[in-house]
Amino acid sequence: MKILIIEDEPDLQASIAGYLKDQGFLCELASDFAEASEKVAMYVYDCLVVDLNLPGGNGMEIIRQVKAGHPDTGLIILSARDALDDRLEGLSIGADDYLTKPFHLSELNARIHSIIRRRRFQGANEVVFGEITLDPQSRRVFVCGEELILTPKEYGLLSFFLANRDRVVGKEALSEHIWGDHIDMADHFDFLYTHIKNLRRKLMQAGAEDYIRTVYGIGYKWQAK
Amino acid sequence: MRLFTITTLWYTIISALVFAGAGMAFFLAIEDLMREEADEQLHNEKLVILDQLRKGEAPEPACVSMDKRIHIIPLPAGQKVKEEYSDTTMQFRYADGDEEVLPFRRLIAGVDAGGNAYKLDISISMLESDDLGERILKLVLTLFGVTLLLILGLNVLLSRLLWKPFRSMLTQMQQYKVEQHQALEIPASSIAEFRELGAALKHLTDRVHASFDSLKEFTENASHEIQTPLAILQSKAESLMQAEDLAIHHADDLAGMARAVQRLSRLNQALLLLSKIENRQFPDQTLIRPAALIQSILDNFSEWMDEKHLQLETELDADVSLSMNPVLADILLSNLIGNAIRHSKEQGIIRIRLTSRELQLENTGGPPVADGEKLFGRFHKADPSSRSLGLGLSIVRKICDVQGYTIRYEGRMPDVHRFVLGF
Repeated sequence: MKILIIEDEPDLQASIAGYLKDQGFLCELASDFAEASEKVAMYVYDCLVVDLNLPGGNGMEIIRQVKAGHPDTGLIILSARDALDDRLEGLSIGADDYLTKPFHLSELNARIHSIIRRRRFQGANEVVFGEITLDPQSRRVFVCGEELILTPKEYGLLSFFLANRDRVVGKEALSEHIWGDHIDMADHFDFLYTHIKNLRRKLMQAGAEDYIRTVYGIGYKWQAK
Repeated sequence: MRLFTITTLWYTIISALVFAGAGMAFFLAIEDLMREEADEQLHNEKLVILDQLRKGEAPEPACVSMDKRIHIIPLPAGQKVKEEYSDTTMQFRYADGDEEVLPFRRLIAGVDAGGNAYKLDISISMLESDDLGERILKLVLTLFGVTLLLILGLNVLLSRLLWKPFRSMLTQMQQYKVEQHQALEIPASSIAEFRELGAALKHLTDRVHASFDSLKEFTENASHEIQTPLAILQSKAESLMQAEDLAIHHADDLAGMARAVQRLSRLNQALLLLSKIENRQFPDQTLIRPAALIQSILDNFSEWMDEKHLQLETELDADVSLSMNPVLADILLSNLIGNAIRHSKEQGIIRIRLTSRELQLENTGGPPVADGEKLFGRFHKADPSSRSLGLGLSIVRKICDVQGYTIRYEGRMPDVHRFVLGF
């Protein structure tokens, strides 16, 4: 899986690349418009992470260029401007997703996973982890072949964990992932804790191992024993 | 008081004084003239009588009529009479019993006629001069009235014509909104002061708008520029989290950092949202059904309501529709409902009533707040220790402002908080 990260902030570029590399992606970097333009012209990528405000040009142009040459490439926009027009324009010219800075690396990673899955397998592939199988298209979960009924929030947590396996995921990233804009309603993280506890209990009752490890103070980690 | 009223009032007072003074002076002058005239007449009369006495033609000893009376009294020798003119009055009784007191001018004089001394007492009527005074007063009053009417008319006309540009500028200033700058249209005017005022106003509004714009731009740019370092911070924190076997105190530090970064970014997003609402960057309006929207928001929030064991009472008119930007509608209602849930007490009651005129949201919580307006201020927090940003209700207020809705808080003892959103 090859990913091109087009981002002019070296620090952010390095963090994104580091996180994605650990997830098994091959990452290439571009820091300005010219470099990005050159790279997308020469190579084929599975997914592009594009910052819209680039030195030397607008990220939208890169997206148009890629869409013209390699329509199968996944595209995810990063922007400091959460302008509705930007978002709509980006999605209308073929971007798959739009993330506003600041974002969580785990969130970016989860979205890249789902974009690549959608693009490469037309969404028909399943996410398998040991005895757990997750079908993103129908949003159903099977444990040891038996269907497991989860609430939407529990499903969201599970798919997020599976995209970020073996990584410590912060509580903030998890809360934002399942509550989105209503994060401030989840004033404290007891709710998150409750949902995770329920997910864990349901999985184990269905015969799965306990893969969710609590990382003191910080968050959780989905880890094979 | 209007300028028009004040000028008219002053014109009236001053012209009344001028007219009263002028009328008075005129009247006195005329009266003086009449008196001199009467005195001359009396003097002539005296000479005529003297002439008659000298010739030995005895005049009527006393004749009294409506306008003249003459007494000729022989004087014992050696007695002198001082000659003097004076004003006097006389009473007349008419045949029909009416009485009237009439003004007269009187001359008392001593004369010598052929060795005999006489005292002459002559009076002539001054009735005419009295009438004259009255007529003059009437004339002055009439003139005064006419002048006053003229002044009023002129004032009305002038304020219609001359003040037109002023009023046009005033209207524009009253409607001027710095966030929706419309360059003033300064009406042409032949009056230098209005031209200067217009130019000054235009200059002022342009400058105010320019500074408002640059401030707005600065705020937005600053907020956007903050997003990137925040993104770096957040990604570094996440990278650090991956470290194996973090010491417990490091984990605590890191968790604190992650929380602070998240808070900062939420704060920044809320401020950006506020300025976007202010800038009316949510232009597209659609017809939304608040009842359905409220229902879906309540479903979203159900876990929090369950957690607090809240009792929900809704009375929603499903036919109500509003023309509103869907994003703003969602933010508005979510903030209000979320606020009610967050501030209600355990096992409290949440009441939502939607009519075509307004939306009422009630929750039971702490004691009512005295100054409800404060709740809508930025960074106002009911509980300073809470993790909320204190911007939810100011966002609500801002949305109401751009939508033209009203929002107010009503607290009722002992523990009811109600927000009323008027469409």
